[in-house]
Formats: sequence, structure tokens, C-alpha cells
Amino acid sequence: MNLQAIYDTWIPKYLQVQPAKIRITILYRFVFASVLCFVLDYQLLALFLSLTLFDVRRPVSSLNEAFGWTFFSVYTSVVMLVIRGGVAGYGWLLCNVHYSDPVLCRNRRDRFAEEWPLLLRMFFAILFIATMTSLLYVSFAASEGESWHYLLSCGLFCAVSYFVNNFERHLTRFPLPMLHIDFHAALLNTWWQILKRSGREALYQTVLFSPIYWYSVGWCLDGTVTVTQTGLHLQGWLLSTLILAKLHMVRKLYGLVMQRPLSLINDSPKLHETHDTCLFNIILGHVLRCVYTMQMRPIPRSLQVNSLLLPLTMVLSVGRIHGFRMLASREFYSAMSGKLGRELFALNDVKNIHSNWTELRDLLVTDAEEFVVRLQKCIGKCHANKEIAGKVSRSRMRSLTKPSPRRKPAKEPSCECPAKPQETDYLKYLYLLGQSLRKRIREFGRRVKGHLAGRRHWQCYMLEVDVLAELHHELCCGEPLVWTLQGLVGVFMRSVADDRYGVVQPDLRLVLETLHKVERQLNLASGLIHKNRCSCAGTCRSHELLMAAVQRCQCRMLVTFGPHLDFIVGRGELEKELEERMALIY
Amino acid sequence: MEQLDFGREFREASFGDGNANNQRNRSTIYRILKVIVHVFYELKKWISFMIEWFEIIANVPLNYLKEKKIIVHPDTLAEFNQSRGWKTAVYKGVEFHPNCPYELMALLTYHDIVVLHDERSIAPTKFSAYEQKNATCMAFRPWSHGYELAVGCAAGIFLWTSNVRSCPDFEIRDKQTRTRMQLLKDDGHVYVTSLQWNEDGTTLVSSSLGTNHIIMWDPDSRQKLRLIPHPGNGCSFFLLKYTPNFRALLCGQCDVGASLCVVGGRSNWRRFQVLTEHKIQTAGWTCCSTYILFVDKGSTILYSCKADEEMEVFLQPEPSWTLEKVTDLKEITTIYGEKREGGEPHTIVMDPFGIYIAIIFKDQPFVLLALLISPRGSRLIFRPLEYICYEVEEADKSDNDIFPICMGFAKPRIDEPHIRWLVIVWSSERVQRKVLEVNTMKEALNIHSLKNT
Repeated sequence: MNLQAIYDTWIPKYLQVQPAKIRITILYRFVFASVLCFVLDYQLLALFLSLTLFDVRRPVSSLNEAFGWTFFSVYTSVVMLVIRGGVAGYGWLLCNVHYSDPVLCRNRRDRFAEEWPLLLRMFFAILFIATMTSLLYVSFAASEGESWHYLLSCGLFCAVSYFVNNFERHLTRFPLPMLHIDFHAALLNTWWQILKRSGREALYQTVLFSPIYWYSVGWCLDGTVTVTQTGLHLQGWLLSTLILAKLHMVRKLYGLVMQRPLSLINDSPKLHETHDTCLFNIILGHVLRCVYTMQMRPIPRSLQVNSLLLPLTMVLSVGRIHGFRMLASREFYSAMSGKLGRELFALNDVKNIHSNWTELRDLLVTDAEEFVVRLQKCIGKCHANKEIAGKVSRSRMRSLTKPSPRRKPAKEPSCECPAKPQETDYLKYLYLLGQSLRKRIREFGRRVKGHLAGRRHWQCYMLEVDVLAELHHELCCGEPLVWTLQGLVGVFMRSVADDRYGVVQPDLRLVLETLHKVERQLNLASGLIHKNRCSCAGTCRSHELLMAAVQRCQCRMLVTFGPHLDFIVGRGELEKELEERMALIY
Repeated sequence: MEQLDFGREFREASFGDGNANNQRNRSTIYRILKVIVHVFYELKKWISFMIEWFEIIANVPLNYLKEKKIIVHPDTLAEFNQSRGWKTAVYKGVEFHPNCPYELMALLTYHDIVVLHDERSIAPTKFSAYEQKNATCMAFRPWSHGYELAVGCAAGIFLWTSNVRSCPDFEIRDKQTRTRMQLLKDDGHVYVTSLQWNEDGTTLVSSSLGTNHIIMWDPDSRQKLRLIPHPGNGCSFFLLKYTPNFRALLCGQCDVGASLCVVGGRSNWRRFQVLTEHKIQTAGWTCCSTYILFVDKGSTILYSCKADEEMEVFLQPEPSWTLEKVTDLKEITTIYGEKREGGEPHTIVMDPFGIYIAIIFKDQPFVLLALLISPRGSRLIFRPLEYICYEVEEADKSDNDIFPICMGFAKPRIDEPHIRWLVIVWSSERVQRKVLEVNTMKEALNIHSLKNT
């Protein structure tokens, strides 16, 4: 078996192009989340068994039986293994949605083609997990018969309702962490909250499901038994609760683990891009570091590099992995914001900061400038598209004069004639058969289309070009700037008190200029969005976020450094523009 | 090219017999669909009706599933509010913009209308909404473009945002309105009692009487996070105060005690229980973010609380707190010898410059202004300076019935950078400014001929 081929096929492209450390971090997190989900599976099974099968009068034998049916049963182990596969697959899908870059969809058909396969995959993954879990639980609770059928359908109903209630057309990424909460505490808190919430949701669903089942299926079996069995309804509720809890929890767990704070270090990325970076070396390095710490000896440089510490510049410069970039930029912001955020970036420590600051500044400013250029191109294209669209609509207006009868254009001899097989009659016959079949299928398709109500409107609806699609896409891609720019401004805010040696303050002009450029382009974009408000779908969330962030950055910078603008930027056009901007703040 | 022939549809519609049949078939299909939809709605109605009856007959606690309606009596709100006479006052709250170089002040009225006074405009701006009732607190968002004001009330938090241009050449205003409103709400998070923005203005924390947790909001990303400062405690929080360095958040509990949550920087969120035996009336941080100054309910003593300095030696220790009595406010004598009866303080306000402390008492018609000196290595020193009384303009009106409601320290204006004010709102609908010309502790000590120790 070729490992490289497996790697190329199964590891997504966005992960393959990343530096080894980032790849390992993500994979490690995925594995950790999957392991937590496996543990969760056993926890939920134990809960189900203890609530349905535990006999208070004979606790020891009950426990024995429960252990016998779970840990020492081949059936349970196999089914659990299958469930684990399903859970890991579901997690993998969630991670793909989270990490993949935003996709450009120019019309609704593209969007449909992009979103629905993913939604279907997600739906089948959820259905698979729910089916297998229901099967496993039901096999402990009921024998073959109506109750078995009822409980199984209840589990499936639960999965469908979970999907309908929790998945919108646009699949969302895991939310960014607002605060670094202790993982263990967050886990415990989430566990209990989700169990309570699932219990409530499941009660509604059981109440709703019972009459549906009774009306639709119950009559062909023996419906009266199902309706009158209170215990069965309770079991159904418990099963629904646990399935819902599992589905909620899996998503939450993957979100929690994938969005855990990154271990950042202010170091040059070149030192950390060595060829021997692999999971084994990192674990070995961790053990050796422990040994060195216990022996109270200084840790060698090679060991420092062989750890999961990620250089700041490395994580901020990753491409094609949107979810990770968002997390990195948010982490950068948290590290830089606040008067006391000196853990990662101490401005007083000139020795360590000086060289890394230049690299970091260049990276952030280049990022912002590239975004400005991309946005500029997009706005230009949008204007051009609008002009073309205007011309087309004008040409599509009916003329006031009577239209002259159309003449069919004379058929010109086509240059690309299909190569007709002339060799044998048999092939000629096959070719003609194929032609006629194709013609009939086309005709049939046309007839079906003709019978569909509102066909033309439907077609127009699906193929309607979104003029701002490209702009929205660029804004979406530039969303990490929301946090990187605020982090950058945070550094300058701290520099007022901390930058005794003038490490960062010489770059004030550059940052003010960059912020001004970004804001100007976003203003132009907002003009375009407002003009096309009627024709395009809604407002752009990314634009709102970026606008709010840039305005806050401008406000902070101009209120703090505004009185010294002539000294910072010198007399000129920029100073005039910034002064005009300052007048608009309050 | 086929799509451009608009006349074709018309021709086909006029002369096609087959299309008439189509229309008939379609109308049948539509009728069936209509019936199905109707049946579905009827079924839905009947199911909800059945559930209601099921709830009544079987006594199943389905009420638990619905959103709980929490009603808090105004007396309870008044008890925990930092404004004296909150229930009856015309102006029951005041807030100043933290960064605006001009004077921008928000006043909260009896009818829960926010009146925004901008010194540059002639008429004040008013914000009101139908759901904005029983408003208790306000907080301006720092570093916002224009102004953004969060108002905590019974329904949740109303976020009022001004719609200001960010480009001189452009005249784009969202929906052509001057202000936008956003309601931040969460299950049970009703009767909001306290609001605090973080240093950058990215997150807002709120406490409420409806829940036993606090919520951290990110209004831009529309995210929220529930935080539990004290697990196992079923009590709500009524007071939130960030330290001046925004590293920690003090959460005053409605029953006994307070919690301290470390929230700043990249460090993990940690919580400590402080003041376990005290029922807090009002509290504040000193400028150095070291001391918590607080007053017990029903007591006249002003206490200070400080974490042990040894705490910083160890990594993430459980800190121990040192409690010290600063002064007894039963009887007050100023440094100039003027003596008056004090009593139970209702609210204390700390000067952001770390010089003054202002106190409103529960039963006194004046505001006490005092110096708060924190010498290194020893306890805080409280030096009463003066009693600020209501300035009576009309000769026949006595000032006995008029009392201070709330107050705040306003930051210096751009044209007068050396002058600050203590703004006091009185029960007579008047707002009074007390000029403070001192910006450093050294100057204050020199002026009042005091020594640092």
C-alpha cells in the first residue's frame, strides 16, 4: 500500500500545503477531538443502560450484565467501532467546512451545486450515526417487534429533526473563542448544558413523534400497544435525548478542540520549518524537555524548536485555510490587546523584539495592502459588469416600432463536422440510432421542462448573476484582517507607554497610511453594496465586520496620535486626509 | 437568442388549445396543493391545541420547556441599583463617553428614555423603544466611530449606534437613519443590572437579576458566552466592575460575597471568591487596580480589600485577600474641620485619575468629596475634602428635600485639558458640575496642604 497515495487522496489539499507544524497541530487536534467523542459514546451508552436496565434490588448482577453486554460483547464492540467511524467522518466533514476557504459563487446555481452536496453528506453522516446508535441502544432495550420498530424510528426522526433545526443552507464555521476558558471546565459545563437542552428538545419530539407514528405506521402493526405503553414512550424520550446530546456534543467537541488557543511564540518561522518535524519528534521533545526541567538544566535550542510552539509569523501567513487563519488572527489580537498583554510581545525587550517586529510588520502590512489591491480590482470589475448589464437590459427592451419578420440565417457549412463512420453499415446504423436516441431524449427533456410551472422564471432565478459575488468573496477572504488590524493597532496603543526604545513607533506613518487605504476601499465597497441593495441578496456580513473593525482602529489611532499628525506623517496630502477623517469621528 | 423573443409567449398563450388544458391541469394541482397546505395548517393547529390540553390534563411540566417569564419588582431593582431613588427620580442614571474629546453625556430618564447631550449640538438626542423598560444602567462603547451606547433594561440590552460617515466624500447612511438599534438578549437574561465594555470596546459583559451567570457579548460577531463566576451559587450578580487595567472583573453578588474573574490577556479565564462574608452595597477599584473599595449593606464602614503581594511570586495560586477598614462614615470631619453626620453610603464613585472618591449617602442631601491616598506599603488613607450641596437658585425653595441621585467624573474637554468635572444629578431634575482643577495627586496634596503619609 502506497502511503503517499493515501496521503494525497485522503488528506485535503488545504492541509497538504501547510507547514509541517500546522499540519500536525490540526491533525493532532482532530485525533484528540475524535478520542473525546469515542469516550462520549461510552458515557452515553452507560447512561442509557443504567437508566433502562439497572435493577436496584440486584445491583451487582445488573452491573455484571451491563459490563458483559458492553465491554465483553463482540456485537457491541463491532457496532461501537462502526459508530466511531461515523462520528470521525462527521467530524472530518465539520472540520472541512471550518477550514476550507470561502468559495466564489456567481449565481444561485453555483451556490446550489456547492452547498447541497455538502449538506447531503452531512445529512447522511448524521443519519448514519443516529441509525447505528439507535440500533445499538434498541437491541438492549427491546426485542424484535413493534417497540423495536418504534424506538428505531424515533431515533431516526430525532436525527432528521436535528438536521433540520441545526443546519442552515450556509454551513457555518466553528465560532471563534471569545475568552480562553479552562478546557476541563468548559467541557463539563457544555456536557451538562447540552444534556439539559437535549432533554427538552427530545420531549417535544417524542410528543410530536408518537401521534405521527401511530397514524402512519401503527395501524399496520398494532398501534394500540404503542400508544398505551408509557414505558416505551419514556424509553423513546431517553433514546432521543441521548442521540440529540451526542449529535450536539460531537459538533461542540470538535469546535472546542479545533478552536483551542494556539501555543504561539515570537520566533522566526525559518527555524521551525525543519525537515525532522513530525509527531514522534514532538512527543520525544516533550519528554526530553520534562527531563531537562527536572534536572534543572537549560533546554537546548533544538528541543525548543521540536515542540508544538508555533511562530507568530508562521500562523499569520498561512494561506488556503480560512478557519485556521481566523483563529490565528484572533489569537494575535488577544496577545496584543490590553495594557498587560506582555506575555508574547514585550516591547521593552529590545533584544528579542527588534528583528521579529520588522518581519511581523511587513507581513501584516503586505496582507492589508494585498487585500486593498484585490478589493480595488473587484470594485473595478463590478462597475464594468454593471455597465455591461445595463447595456444588455437596454438591448432587451422591446422596440416601439413593429419588428421586421425574422429571416432564418442561411446555414453555413460547419467546419467541425462530426466524424461519421463510413466504414461499415453496422457502425452507421449504430451512429444513427445514437443520434435519434439523443434527439428523443432532448425532446422529452424539453417537453418535461415545458410542463414545469414557471420554468423560465425558475431558470432566470437560478442563473441570475450576482454582480457583487466577487466582492463578497474577497471580503469574506479578508475577514482575518478584522483581528490582525486590531492587534496591530493594539501594539501601537501599548507603545505609548512601553516603547521606550522606539522599536515600533517609527512605523506609525506606515500603519496610518495602510489603515486609511483599507478604509477608503471599504467605503467604496459599501457604496457599491448600497447601490446594488435591491438587486443583490442582503448585506455582506464580512463587510460589516471589517468596516466596524477598521473604523475602531482608525478611531483609536487618530484619537491617540491625532494631535501629533504633522510630526508623524509630515505635511502633505495624507495629513490633510487624516485630519478630515479625524473631524468625522465624533 | 430564444429568450429575447418576448412576443412568443404572448402568441402561444393566445392561440394554444393545449395550453388551456395545461391551465386546467395546473389549477387542479394547485387546488390539491392548497388543500394539502390547509390540512397541514389545520393539523399543526390541532396538535398545538392537543399539547395545551395534554399539559392541563396530565399536568406535565411543559411550562418548563417554554421561555420562563421572570418578573422582578421595581423595589428589588431599586435595592440593587447604584442610583439613589431610582424608582422616583426624573433622571436615574448618567454616563459619559470615555474617549470623546467633547462633552458627550447620556442621561436616563424616569420614562426609560435616554437623553444624549452633546455640547456641540443645540437640542439633545432622545432614544426610546417600546421594550426599553425598567432601564438600570448604561455604558458607552470605547473607541467607537460616532457613539455606541448600551442600555441595560428588563428586556435585555439595547445597543444604540449613531450612523456617522467615515469618509468626507461619501454620503452613505445605512437606511438613511441617524441611529440604529440592536437588542441583545438571551434566555432568562432579563432585568440587566450592570454593563461593562472591555478596554478595546470589542466585548461587553452584563449581569442580570434573571440568571445566575454573566454574559460576555461580541455585538459585531453576534456571539455570546455565558460565564459562571461562582459555580454552585444560585444567586444573581448586580455589580460588574473592570479593574482600571482591564485584567480582572469584580462581580458583586446579590446575596453575600463577590467573585473576581481574570479575563484579560491570553491567560485562561480564572475565578476567585472574594469577600465571602460581606453583602456588598457598592464597590469600586482604585486607580492602581490593587484595592477593591466597598461598603457593606446596612453599614457605615468603608473597607478596602487587597490580594496578598506574595501571590505574584507563585504561578496561578489561590490568592488570599487582606481586608482593612479604611474609615467609618458615620460622622465625617473634613480636613478643614467641618463636621457633619454621614451614615450608610449608597454609592461610591472613583476618580479615573486616582485622586478623588465621591460618595452619595442613603439619607444625606450632599455628596462627599474626599481624597484617597494610597501610600506604598501601608493602608489607604481617606481624607474628606468637602460636602457638595445642591445650589439653590430660587429663594423660597429649601434644599432639604433635594438629594443626589447619581454622579460621575467627566474627562477633560479638548479646549480645556486641565479642567475636569464631577457631574452630579439631583432629584430636582438638575445636573450640577463641580470643577476639579487637579490632575495629579501631588498637586492635590499641595493644594490641600497634606502629606503623602
